[in-house]
Amino acid sequence: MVMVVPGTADDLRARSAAPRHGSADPTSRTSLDVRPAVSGGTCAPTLPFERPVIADATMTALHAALTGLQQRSEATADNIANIDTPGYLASRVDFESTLRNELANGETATGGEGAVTQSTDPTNMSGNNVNLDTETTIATETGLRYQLALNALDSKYSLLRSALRTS
Amino acid sequence: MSTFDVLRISGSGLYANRKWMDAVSDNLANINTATATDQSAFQERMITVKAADYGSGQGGVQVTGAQFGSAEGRLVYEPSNALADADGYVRYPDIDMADQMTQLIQAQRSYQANLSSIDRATDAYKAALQLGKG
Repeated sequence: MVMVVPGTADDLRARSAAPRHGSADPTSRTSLDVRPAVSGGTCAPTLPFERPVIADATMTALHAALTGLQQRSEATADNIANIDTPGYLASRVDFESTLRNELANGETATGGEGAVTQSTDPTNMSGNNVNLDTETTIATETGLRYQLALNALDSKYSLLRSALRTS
Repeated sequence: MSTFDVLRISGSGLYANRKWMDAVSDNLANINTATATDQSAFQERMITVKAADYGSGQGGVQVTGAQFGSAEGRLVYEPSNALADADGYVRYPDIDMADQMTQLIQAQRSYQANLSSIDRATDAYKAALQLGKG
């Protein structure tokens, strides 16, 4: 959408760089096609690149939360699958601390890869420390929070759709 | 971490518990299988599993194989049995019924726990697939 207004300094420079008389050199033609991206010489308004419309802070934060919650539900499923595996220690996922720090510092929320730690709960005779009650509670909570984040993201999308509706 | 990983992980749990139940039912079906004393008794089947490392992005449980119980079994005096040796003994497998039933219930409950995991994941995935439609 960047249009070059004829006569700007960069345009003149581009023209003077090209050979004055017609030649078969293809590079001389392409050099005219290359439009210099100068802020002063465009008719389009300056786009707010720093604040994207769709992937804004809320969207990226919600997306990071969804990814983290998804990772946690995988860990819980893994724990439940290994409920009778001797020597298995339950894994716990923490993505909130990274996400909270990123949001507090005004960085782009990625959530990163959630930190996986092993539970320090006491083990049973076979060296396994998966507790079905704990896992079910975590899984239910994770599921509900996942739905919550989805609803929030959905609301953002409908807001965006309302803005895009022309009539 | 792929898209529907919970289903794969819980599926591996279902598979492992199914194998466990298979082994237990095999043991129970053969609990009264008598053999001649010059042969080995029916050996109890035990499933061995190991956790597929979650940190490596795999997750789930793997059935690594089976172990077999005592081949010696227990000798029972049963002179009327067609397989009895000269002293009237036959070999029975050394399997404890109560132990097998406990294992069966344990495997059954774990199977159900994995099924609930799948249910929960399905709900979440279904909701995610509705995103942006409302």
